[in-house]
Amino acid sequence: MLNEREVISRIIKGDFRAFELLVKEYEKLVFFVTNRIVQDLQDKEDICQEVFIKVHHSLPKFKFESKLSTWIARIAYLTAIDYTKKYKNQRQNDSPENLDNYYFTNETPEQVLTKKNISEYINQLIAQMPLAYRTVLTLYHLNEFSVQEIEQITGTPEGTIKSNLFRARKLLKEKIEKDTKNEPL
Amino acid sequence: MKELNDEEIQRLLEGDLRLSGDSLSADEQTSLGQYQLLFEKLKEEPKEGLPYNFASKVKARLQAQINRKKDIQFYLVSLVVLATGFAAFYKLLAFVNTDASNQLFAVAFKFKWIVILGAILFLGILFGDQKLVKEKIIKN
Repeated sequence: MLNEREVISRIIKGDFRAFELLVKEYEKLVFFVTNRIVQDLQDKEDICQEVFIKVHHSLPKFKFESKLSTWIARIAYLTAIDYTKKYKNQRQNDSPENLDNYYFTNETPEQVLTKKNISEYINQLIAQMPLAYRTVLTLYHLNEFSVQEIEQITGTPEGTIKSNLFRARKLLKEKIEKDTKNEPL
Repeated sequence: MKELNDEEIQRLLEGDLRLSGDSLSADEQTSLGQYQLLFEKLKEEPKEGLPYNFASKVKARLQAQINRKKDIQFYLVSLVVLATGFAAFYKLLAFVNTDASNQLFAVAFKFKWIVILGAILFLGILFGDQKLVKEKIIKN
């Protein structure tokens, strides 16, 4: 287990080996956060690199008021969001006008093919969802952040996070249920 | 008995809701099973990821960035030291031998563009060389 205080103090003193340790510890977290916001794999790697460079520059300002993982995840989230805005990489359904009325559209032949592989199918369904749903599902289930931590990371109110999480899971469950009615998993 | 709705089933799986002892109906069990499967799948890590040498790539990029800043500072300081040195030498020469200092000034003035271009070229080569070396480090 990484001793965060010691590693941070070494990094601030200019120890690059300590910085490499920090990157190794949190690279998965940063990748998971950016993975569902940005589409292109090469862009994802570039953004992850940028996130860690920002982390290095901002470390002297980190006052341990939150967990280091939450702080790094916030930098990753904001960097990925900035990137999509900067390069107009946002898809049309990323921010629908009425999030509560979002539903899946009809499936494409590609989705029918991948339905055999339930994990891949769920990932495809998540990829179609609006940004708020994708983000909350990833941060809560994959990164295992609490609702309060997700609030710190995204700046979204706790109530909205809970409702998005519930609705995203319900939509996925209903879609899978519908699609696999005659096709047991 | 009132059936559990989606919200209650989700809360049940997260441990926020406890059943009072009554067994679940067939529909509830089906729904619970579907949510259980979904929760498991949502925890699965994506197949693709970052390259194995990602950490060393970031380290190299950061080192290159920091070194470049230091290099630029060094070049600027060198330029200032060089200019100050030349001015000091000229002053000293003017104090010892006014004619020689006037001649030096005249020559320097005559070839001012060559001197300036030479300085720019020298700094440019140093800067370009550093940049090429660092780009190679990042690519590797």
